[in-house]
This record gives sequence, C-alpha cells and structure tokens, in this order.
Amino acid sequence: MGWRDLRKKVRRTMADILEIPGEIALDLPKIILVGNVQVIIENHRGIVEYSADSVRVVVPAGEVTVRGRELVLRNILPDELCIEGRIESLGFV
Amino acid sequence: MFVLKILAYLFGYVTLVVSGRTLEKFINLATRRGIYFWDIRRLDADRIMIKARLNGVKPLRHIARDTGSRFKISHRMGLPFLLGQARRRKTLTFGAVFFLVVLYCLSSFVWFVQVDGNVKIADREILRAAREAGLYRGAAKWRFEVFAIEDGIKEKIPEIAWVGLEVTGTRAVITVAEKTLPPPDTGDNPSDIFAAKAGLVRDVMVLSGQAVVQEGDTVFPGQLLVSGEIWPPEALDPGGAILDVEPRLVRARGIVNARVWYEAYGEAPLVEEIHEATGREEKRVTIRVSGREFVISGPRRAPFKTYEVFETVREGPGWRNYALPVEIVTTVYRETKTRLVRHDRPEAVRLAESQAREILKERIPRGAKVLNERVDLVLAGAGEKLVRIQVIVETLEDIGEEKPRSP
Repeated sequence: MGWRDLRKKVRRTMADILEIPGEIALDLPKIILVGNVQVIIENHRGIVEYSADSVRVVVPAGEVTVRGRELVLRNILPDELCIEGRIESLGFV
Repeated sequence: MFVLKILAYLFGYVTLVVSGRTLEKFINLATRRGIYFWDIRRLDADRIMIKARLNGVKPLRHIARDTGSRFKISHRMGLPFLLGQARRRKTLTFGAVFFLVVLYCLSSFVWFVQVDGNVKIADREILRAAREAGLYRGAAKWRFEVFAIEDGIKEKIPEIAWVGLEVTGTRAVITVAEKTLPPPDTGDNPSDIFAAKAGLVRDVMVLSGQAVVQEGDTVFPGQLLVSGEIWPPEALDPGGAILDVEPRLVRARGIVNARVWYEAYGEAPLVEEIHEATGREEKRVTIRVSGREFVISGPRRAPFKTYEVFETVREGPGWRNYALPVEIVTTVYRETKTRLVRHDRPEAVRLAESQAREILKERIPRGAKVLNERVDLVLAGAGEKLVRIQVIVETLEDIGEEKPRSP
C-alpha cells in the first residue's frame, strides 16, 4: 500500500467519524437529479463536450456523462452547473 | 436565481451566437474567469447560443480570440438598452413621463364621492352639504381637512348625528349616522303653554285650552300661561260641592303677547392701547430633541422689546405609534409698537352703544316688535377713562312655550 492510498484511507475514516459530508472531505462532486428534467452538478471542473444530446462534465473523481434530448446548460458557475432537458441517462467514467 | 435574473435585466444582457470548433473550451475559460452566463443552447455542430451580462462581453472578446471562436450579438435585452431606445425616441419618452406625471397629479384629487349609511336624508342633500364644506368631485386633496368636512356636513344637516369621512386614493366615502328624532308633534297630545321669559302680559288669545293669566299680569319664566286642562263649568262653580269630574285634556294653543324688557351694557375706553406690528421680524429655527432645543439659525433671545411670537412645529416622520423625538421649530418674532389711541367722547359713546346693541341683537328673537328703547349713559367711577352705556329695549312678543303634559 502506497503513501497516497494510506492518506486517502485516513481521510475517509476521519470523515466518517466526524460525519463531514463526503463532497467536502473527499472532494467529490454532488449531483442532484430532479426527475428526468434537471441535473445539478456541484464541484465540477469544467465541461468536455456539449451538444444537444450529451454533456460530459469533468469532476474530481473522473467524468460524468449526461445523455438525453434538447439538453440546455441552464446555468454555469465556476463550481456549479445545471443541465435541463429530457434526460435519458447519467453515467460515470 | 430569480434575483440573478432581475440583476441581469437591470444591468442589461445580450444573447450571443458563438461559432467555433472548441466551444467547450470557450465555456470553461469564461466560467473560470468569472464571467457568468446561462441558457447555453446548441444550435448546430459549431454554433451555440449563450446569454451573458453586458459587462462580460468585453472579456469574452479576448477569450474568443484565444479559443479561435467568434461571436455575434443577436439580441440585446435589459434596462440599459431600453434607456438607449428611450433616448432615441424622445417623443415616446416624453409621452410616458407625461402620462406618469398626469396620473400622479390626477391621483391627488377626489374623483368619486360616495354616501353611505343614510336612510331618510337624500344622497343629494349630503353631497350638497359636502360641496359647501369643500368636498366635491374634482376637489384637490390638499385643499381640505377631513375633520373640517365632517364638521361642516354635521353643521349643515342637523338631522345627522355623526359623520365619518374616509378618503382612499381618489375615492371619498362619507358615512353618516342619522339622529332618531322624536315624532313631530302634529297630533293633539295634551300640552300646556308656559312663559319662556319674564314679562308683562298685554293680551292673551286662546285657541284651545284654558287661560290662566290675563292682561296686566306680570309673569316669570316657567309660569303656566295656558293650561291644557279644561274643567267642566260645574267644577269651577265656587259654591258647588266637590264633584267627581275629570278634566278634559287638550293641546293648549294660543298666543300670549307680553312686553319684555332687555338690557345690555357696553363700554369703551377713552384711551386705547393698540399693539401694531412695525414690520420688522426675525426668524429663528431650532431643533428640539426630546425637550432640549438647539438653535440652528437666528437669534438666541427675543430680539425686540415688545413682540409677538408665531411658532410652527414640524414633526419628524413617524411610523405607526412611533414618532421621531425630533422636531423642527420655526419661531417668528414680530416687533410690535404700542400706540395710544384717544377716542373723543361721542366716538366712545358710539362704540359702547354698538357693543351693547350687538349683545341685544343675539338675545331678542326675530319676531319681536320693538316698542321702545332707551340709551343711558352710566356714570363711570372717578378717574376711569371709560364710557359706559346701558341700552334698554322694550319689545312685544309671544312668550308662550308649549310643553307636552307628562301622562
């Protein structure tokens, strides 16, 4: 086990003990899905691809792919973005 | 988000069509720079439509150059553009401002006057009384005081017990409460006639009832003049036995003319002090904070030897029951000069007499016939610079006053 993994493990344990939300302690994205009409992604790192059928967003742990129809970026802020449209799938890469 | 929309509208925003190969990069760069935009929509393979704030357009130019994309403004929205438009269309702007000004001006008049709560009194009558008091369609709201109108209506229509006036916007609602008057005495309820004032009876004319006084009698206020009891002739027979008869009760009617004397007294000084304004005045403005006064401008003390003071107090704005404890007091001192005016004797007599007559005018009823009048000079005490006058008026008038008999 390398030094990096150990640090990650310690962090997770501490977060569990102190009940700190995961997205803060572990730098994870927080994704809110409202029905099939809206996705809110907090703590993102920018978008890789945007088209009416799919949006790919970089997040700290990898990449999130949203597929659907008539996708619109309703809102985009440095750490939060909101996608609206008819969402068909949400995937992690 | 709603607040952001309003802010965007206030500061103005534009719809941009961005074309290029790496539009995602364009979005990321702009977002990282802190340029806020929203409603990003894909048009086709190399074009997107975005909305951005007006102040973000300039930095976007640099980003577009760096990412090899171009953008075109397709729509301009928001207040700054509206203002620009307004500047171009001066007449329209003038019209809009004119409209608002006219609307504001018109809203400070009363356009609708409603009457509420009246049963017997006609609306028209109340409206007429209100008009005379100063409230009518088209009356300016700053020209009348609510309580003055209320008092005015009450004064003009005695059948009204209470008047409430409420002005809401351009509508004034007059709410009245009518008095419940006792039924007018038209019937033949038994009554008597009493003397209303002291006098010497000159003639008695009875229409119904029994005369109690006769010519030459001196009567005092409250004395019975004509009785509503009519006894049958046999009961009045002095020698007869006491009979078990009841008097017939009628409504006493008749005229009792009597000579009545009035006297009034008037006086006038031979030397009169008159305080006249000299025209010189000083103004002082002070701020009164919870009882303590601070002079802002003007003299600290009264600047004249003899003067009149006029004070106007302006209170600070209040809210509900809370009033700011700050008042602005404007004091105006007007210098006065005392002048002695000498009246010669005939003039003083005239003044005193007219003063006495003024008193009499109020006391002598309108229908009275003046028989005689006498003007006496009352001797003033030694050293008094006064003229005293006594006026005695003798009148002939009906002194009867009908009062219902209590059952």
